Amino acid sequence: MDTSKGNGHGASSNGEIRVGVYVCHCGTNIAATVDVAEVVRFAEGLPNVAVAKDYQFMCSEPGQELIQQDITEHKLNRVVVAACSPLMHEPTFRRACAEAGLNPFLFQMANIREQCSWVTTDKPRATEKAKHIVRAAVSRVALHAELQVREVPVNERVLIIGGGIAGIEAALQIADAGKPVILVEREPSIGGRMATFDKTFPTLDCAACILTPKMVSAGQHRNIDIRSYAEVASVSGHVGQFQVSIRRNRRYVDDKKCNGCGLCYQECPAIVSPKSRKVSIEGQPYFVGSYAEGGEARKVTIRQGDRERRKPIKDTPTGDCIFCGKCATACSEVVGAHAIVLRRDESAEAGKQRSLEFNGNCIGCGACVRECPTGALTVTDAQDRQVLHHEMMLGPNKAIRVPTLQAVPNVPFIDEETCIHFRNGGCGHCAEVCPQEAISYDMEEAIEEVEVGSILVATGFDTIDLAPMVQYGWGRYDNVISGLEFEILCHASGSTGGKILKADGTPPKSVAILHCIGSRDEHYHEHCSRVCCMYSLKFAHLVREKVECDVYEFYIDIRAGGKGYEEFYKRLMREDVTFIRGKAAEVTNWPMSPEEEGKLVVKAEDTLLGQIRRVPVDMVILSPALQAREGAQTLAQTLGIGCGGEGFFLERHPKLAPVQTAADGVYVAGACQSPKDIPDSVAQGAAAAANILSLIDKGTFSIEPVVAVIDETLCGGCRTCINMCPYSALSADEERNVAVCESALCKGCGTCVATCPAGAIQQQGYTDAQIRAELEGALGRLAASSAE
Amino acid sequence: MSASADFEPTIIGFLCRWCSYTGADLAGTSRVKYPPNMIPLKVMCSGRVDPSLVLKALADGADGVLILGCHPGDCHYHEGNHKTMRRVPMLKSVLQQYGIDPARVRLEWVSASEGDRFAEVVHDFTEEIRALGPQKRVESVA
Amino acid sequence: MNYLFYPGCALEASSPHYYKSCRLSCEKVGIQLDELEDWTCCGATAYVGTDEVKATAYSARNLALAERAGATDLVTACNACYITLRKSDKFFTNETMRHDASEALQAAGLAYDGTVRVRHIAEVLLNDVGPARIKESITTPLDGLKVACYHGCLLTRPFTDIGDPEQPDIMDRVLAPTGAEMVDFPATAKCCGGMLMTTRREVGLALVYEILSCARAMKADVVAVACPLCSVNLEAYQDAIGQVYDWDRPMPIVLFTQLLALAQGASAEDVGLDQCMIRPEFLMERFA
Repeated sequence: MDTSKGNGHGASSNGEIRVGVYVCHCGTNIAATVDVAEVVRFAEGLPNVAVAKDYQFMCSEPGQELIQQDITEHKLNRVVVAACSPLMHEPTFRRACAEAGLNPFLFQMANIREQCSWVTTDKPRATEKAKHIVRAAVSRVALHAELQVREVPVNERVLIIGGGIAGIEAALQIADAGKPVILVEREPSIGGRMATFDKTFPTLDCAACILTPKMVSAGQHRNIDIRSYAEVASVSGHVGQFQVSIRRNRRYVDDKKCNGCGLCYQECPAIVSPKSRKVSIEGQPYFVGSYAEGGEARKVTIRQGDRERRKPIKDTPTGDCIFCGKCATACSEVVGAHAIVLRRDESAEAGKQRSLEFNGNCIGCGACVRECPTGALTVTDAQDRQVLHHEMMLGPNKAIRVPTLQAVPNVPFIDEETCIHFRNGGCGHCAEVCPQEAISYDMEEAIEEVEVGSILVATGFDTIDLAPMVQYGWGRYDNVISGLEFEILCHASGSTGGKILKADGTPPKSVAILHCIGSRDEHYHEHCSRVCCMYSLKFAHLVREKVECDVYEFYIDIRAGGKGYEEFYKRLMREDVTFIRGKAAEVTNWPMSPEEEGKLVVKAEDTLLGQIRRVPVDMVILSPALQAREGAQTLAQTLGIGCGGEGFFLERHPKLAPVQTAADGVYVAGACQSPKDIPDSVAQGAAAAANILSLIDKGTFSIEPVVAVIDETLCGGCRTCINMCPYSALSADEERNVAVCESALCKGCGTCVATCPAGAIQQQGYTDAQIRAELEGALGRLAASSAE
Repeated sequence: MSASADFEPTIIGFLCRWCSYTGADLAGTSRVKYPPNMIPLKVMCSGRVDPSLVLKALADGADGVLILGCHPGDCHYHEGNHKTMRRVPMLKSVLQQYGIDPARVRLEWVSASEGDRFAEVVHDFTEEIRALGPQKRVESVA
Repeated sequence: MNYLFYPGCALEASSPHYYKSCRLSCEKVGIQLDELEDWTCCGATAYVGTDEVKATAYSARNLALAERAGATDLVTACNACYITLRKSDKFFTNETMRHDASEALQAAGLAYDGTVRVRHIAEVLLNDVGPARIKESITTPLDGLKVACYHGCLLTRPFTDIGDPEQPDIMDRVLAPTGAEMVDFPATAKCCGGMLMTTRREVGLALVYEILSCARAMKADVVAVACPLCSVNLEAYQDAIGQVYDWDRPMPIVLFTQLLALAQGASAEDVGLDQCMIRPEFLMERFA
């Protein structure tokens, strides 16, 4: 058997292989199930083994020193440690070997903890399995060769994907250390979810007051380049040297020219919400047009004034139509829809000389309403609702807008769905009024290529879609709203100016807050969304603060595990909030008793009373589960990182490497890794920044030399391997008719090795010979093969 | 079910370093129990598993071989597992020609977060091989 | 199209008008229902709760007969029969259950291989016939009638493949072509109480009152049902409900196939409207 293919041996001067085997007790973690002494006795009898020992904790300093002494004393040239997983302590022992002058790759780890002692209770069989694992390692290590780690330089520039609080925190930390950051944000402004919150728990400080300064610092920082309204399209390369394509979506406003004056959205005639409208004359509704996306009819109402009462507009804004024709002009000349026509009927009696005529050309833009000087044209929702909880927004209610007035960058974008220009080619008002000539309707998507050395993913969370969960009534009954909708309802810059109002415009007299909607529920998400208990308590406080109102919290458990959280819960209990321990089963809208008339009814089993309860309320706030972002899987593939069962990005180790990932140089922070509140997201953002800065500061990254090498004397030039390589590391040398491997590109998967029909490619550290020897050891053929 | 119940099969597991080996570690960390019949071998990618290595394992006394990789689409090396997915059926047809039951080789996907699933797969496969009985030695196939 | 049909005890005894209207409305869309020969009671839901193996063997007898008759589908019109037969079929995928139940079947010279698909007539009308063909069969539309379609708790639970478990709309889609207005009916999948009406009457009444009060709030003229047991529970206890709750205007309960057949040209007598416990007088006059 050829044992030396492609490898030099780190043998002692006379070529003798001397293996030291060290079996760890790991306290009782291993020793309780595996007979350590027996394994040592067994190892002593294995070929090439010069010394075998056991120790309480091999990873401890004395444990490592034991190995180092033996390397000198017993002239060891191979070391096997049978202990925990190599993913845990391989680096530790390799370092110990290296310090003692032994090439670190002449070391092999035998995992007898995670994959042996912890997974069975059968002591004899665990011991037997441990022996097999140790024998496999001893057999393999004899064929190990000296290898050198590769050092790759690290580009200082950092890419941060996601401009929420976690991404902003990391960006500021890194930028303050003098390193350049590119912050890519999908939305038009950074700030993320936190920017839509009014108050934060448990301190109730205003979210904007603590977030806006950070957003502004990020926006003004000379080391931070913000790419908002942009997405990462592709990533190639490896740690230290990533090539990233950033796709910049069509904003239609040139961020280099725009000075953020806001004239465009002040002048824009197209309003976004309500999405369905009504306009009528003297209470007679006229069907005018339908809204393309929603499919709901938009109706327009004009109250026709008496000719006699017609007076100068300035003095009496009576709210009656004065037939000025401004709406018709706007509709024809600005919008280009020609949906309203002002008729002058000469034959009619004096009072009815003018009339307005409507036709089906209306696109529902709302320009006429805005142009009407008397307020005769009023916009109402088609369902007669005053407050549209599902459509509320923080910024200007216009087709060209900024998401909030604190937006960073303070550059508007055009919403194609509602913009008149993109719907019928008319208008163009914003381009006319823009003093900077920043608006360009034919802006194309742009791709920008950047090079970075490390990547931080901080893309945050989505909330579960409530529409399919019909039992809770969201989207079905007025006044059932989601937690995020309540945040905007409560927000001082929101559509109601922070007033808590029902759909009919009046304040609620009773509010129910339903916890765990889609969380801790095997039909939806098993996980706890972690933040809902606390923000639900915050909601209860805000409701009680703003409205005279009964508040009911329907909960499974109150999980208040955080600094000051339990205290906040206690405080709310004193604030006369009614806590009902029972997951709400459903929300209904039909009364079964007089006091339920006109109310929403929350049904739940009160597990403290042992009773089904029906609680009639005016408004229901649902706390939807936090879930992974749509598209997280795709991003994970782009970056070569993993997603866990619930779709959140997978950290390298849940406890010891919470912001690192399986891919070197790629880090995660915030709620994209698992549901997290603001303090935890900020802490992770800062932790990731520290990880990244330490990588940058070192300047180079060591890559394991597990790359493919080609034995040109064996290569027949068949090129089978070339298509196997996903990194284009392999190519054909036409002249010599052999395959060649660019080891800087090789990532060491070994797929080409398994493919080569001639056995000409070997993977360092995983050669055929090494794996075959490991197999023989595992299967007990070691003695036989070495006797051959 | 001809095999005797006290037959303890020897199984070789090729575990990809990124998903399945990590998943196997997680099973351990979570103290999930499964039969100790499988000896794990770590490879960087399931795509590294040369069919001849599987044949060698069977020739050297393994009663079954389990190949575990990342779920399709999750491969750390983009598509190494796709190659394995195509190789294994071909390998199975070769096994048949050798007179080895193709059920003795199984390819499964276990992600880094699927400790429970890892234990389940090993358990199922061990029981299946136990039911198949010991693998008759085929000399010098590899 | 011919379907092998399992009527079940209730269609024979308490709800012959359901059976009659089923046949009528199916004929109009080209479906013939062939009754399964020598069928026996499905055991209903209570038996499964008492002894799964015996109950499975008991109802699987009908599946075995259907399989022997060469049928791929066995159609029933009762939610309880539907769910019981379907559960038995599902239990046959469990090795132990299959073994034990097969032994019982063998004693009667029968065997079941698990090849029969158990289906509910409402779902057959929706998926095999489809709203378009139903629309073609409509001759006397039910314009102006407001219908609350009550699906019951079993039709889409635990098997959710034929409709949403919380808010199924199978009947709504079958009846929509009749021209009647299908009111939004959030209580559609609530439990009618089943046998609780005889064992824990106060619980049964509360459950039925919840369904009826929803129909009232949604301003329905009639409630359409697809199960003889639901039908009895909803209509037979309205007086008793009136004694406990605020309920004085009785709500007529009809089988959904009665409405369908009426719209297809049948008379009130044809579909047995007179056999409803709370007679929908306005419909009886209109379709006299």
